[in-house]
Formats: sequence, C-alpha cells, structure tokens
Amino acid sequence: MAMSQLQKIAQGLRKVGVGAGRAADRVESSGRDLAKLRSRVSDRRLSAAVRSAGLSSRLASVESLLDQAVAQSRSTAQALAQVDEGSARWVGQLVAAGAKDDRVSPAQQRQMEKWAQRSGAEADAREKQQLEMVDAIFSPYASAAAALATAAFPPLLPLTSGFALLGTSKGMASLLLSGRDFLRARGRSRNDERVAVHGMDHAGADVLAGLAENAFQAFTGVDMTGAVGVSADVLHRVRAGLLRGRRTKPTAD
Amino acid sequence: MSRPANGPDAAELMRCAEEVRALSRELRRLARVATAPQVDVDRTSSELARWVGGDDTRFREMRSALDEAGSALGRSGGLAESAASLLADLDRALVAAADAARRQQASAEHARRR
Repeated sequence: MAMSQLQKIAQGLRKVGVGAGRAADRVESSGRDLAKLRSRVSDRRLSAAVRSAGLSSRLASVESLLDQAVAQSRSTAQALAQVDEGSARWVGQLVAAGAKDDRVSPAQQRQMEKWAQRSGAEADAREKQQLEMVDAIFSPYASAAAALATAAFPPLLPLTSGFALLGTSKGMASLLLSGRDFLRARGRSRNDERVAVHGMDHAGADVLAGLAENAFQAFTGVDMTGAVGVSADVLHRVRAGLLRGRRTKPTAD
Repeated sequence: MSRPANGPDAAELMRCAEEVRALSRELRRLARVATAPQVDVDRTSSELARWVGGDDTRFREMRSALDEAGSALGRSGGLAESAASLLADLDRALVAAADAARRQQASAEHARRR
C-alpha cells in the first residue's frame, strides 16, 4: 500500500473514532441525566403519595421503562466506545505497518503515532465519565439504604438482620443487574490494558449479581409492588470500591 | 380541613402531581436529547464506509457496532417517551385522586358538624 494511501486511511479512521467518541460522550451524558431523573421518580415522598392513592403499579411501570432506557443508553455508549477503540487499534496497526515501510517518513510516522496517543487519552476521559455515571446511579440508592437501615423501620417483613427495605424499588434489582452487565462488559473491554480496573469491575459485578439474586429471593411471593431488600453495608462497599477504582492507577499495560 | 385517618392527603397528592408533571416534561426533553447523537452515528458510519470497507472483519465489526448503536438510540428515546406518557397519565390520576380525597374530606367534615 502506498504511504499516502496508508496515511489517508489512518486519518480517516481517526475521524471515525473521534465521531464515535463524540457520540459516546453525548449518549453517556443523556444516560446520566436519565439515571438522575430515574432516582427522582423513586423519591420516598413521591412513592408514599402514589401508594396512598393506590397508583403504585403505574409508578412501577414508569420505573421499569426508565431502567430499560438507562440500560439502553449504557449499551449504546459501549457500542460507540468499541468503535472508537476499534479504530484506535486499527490506527495502531497501521502505525506498526508504517514503521516497517520504507516509504513512511519519520514525520508521517510521528503524525500517526500522535493520533494513536490521542485516542488513548480520549478513552481515559470516557472511562472517567463511565465511572461517574455508575456512581450517579448507585449513590442515591446507597444513601437511601443506609438511611433506612438506621431508621426504626417497622418489622413488616421477616428480613434477616443487615437487610433493609428499600421503598418501591422494583427497579433496584434491574439496576443492579444492568450495573453488573455494565461492569462485566467494561471489565472485558479493559482486560488487556487495565488489570486493576478489570479486577475491580468483576468483583463489583459479582457483588451486584449476588445482591440482585438476594433481592429477588427475599421477596418471592410477597406482594410489595416489587420491593426488594438490600444490604446497606454491601451497597456502600460497592460504591466505595467504585470510587477507589476511579483513583486506581493501572498496574499493567 | 383535616384529612380522615389513613386517607390520602389531597394537598400532598396535588404537590406530587405537580412534581410528576415536571418530571414528565423533563423526560420528554431528555427523550429528544437521547436520540440526538444519531447524527454523529450516521456521519461516523459514512466516514467508515468512505475510508474502509469490503470484507475486512474489522470494518464489519465496527459497522455492526454502529448499526447497533443507532438502533439502541432509537429504542432508548422511545422508552423515555413512553415513560413520559405514563408519567403524564400518573399526573392526571393523582389530580383525580386529590379531588376524590378533597370530596371525602369535605363529606367527613360535613358529617362531623351535623
């Protein structure tokens, strides 16, 4: 392949990556807004008023749709990030091919390496945003669970100690499951380059999967409009792990 | 006017109806924002086809990811729209419940005076 052609393709691929990255950023941003709105819908005061009017099932339907919308946003952002990362890898391969090609001048080689480096910085920025998105989703639940765990909550259900009732949170279980999927997917995509983050993701995903299973088991057959029990301690640990992960430096490249 | 024991509070229901209305409006706006990146996805897809193509596996994977992203954007926006419509229904139901609670409170007050 002629150098000019190689360089053009690399440049074009970077445009693809930048376009996909920009779209991923916008999707993540709207996903964060959706997640914030989702937590407002589950506000305790609003839930109580809706329950008093006998309209809980309608609110549960809204919560379910919003959970699905948030999950869709997340998978969209992941698909776009994959395109960005795929294009960066491809550029990297072209750079490597160019290095073996006598027709590539040092200046052209440096230019292509610059594109490859920039895509790495963009991926780091996106990872930070993804962690913020996860935090935005789980933070209100962790706080709500802690508040409920310390409150003198009437013994409505024979819950084991350490478990607290978390409002009309049918969506909590699906959020936990979508959080698990998110962390697993990101763990996979980071496997090669971010061992520390990858491990943290998988540990978090396992905890979230366990929580979701417990939540379903605890309330099987109990008509509480899908209320689920969660351990405030465990949720706090998940959140703390995520925050630690944000500060964790990659241990291997 | 005091509310009957264990009955819904009309004023609280009205406050919640207003909040639900605001959430519905905001969600409709978010639904539009959620589908906006479609422009970027389409442009990216065109760029990809312009520079590479054919039977290359990497091209097929990236094209497939872009197609999936485009479909997911539409689904996400549709779900948010549906949720906004449900919230609007909930708003109306809460207003109706508040009216019913008000009537019930007035009736109870009337009976107490007699």
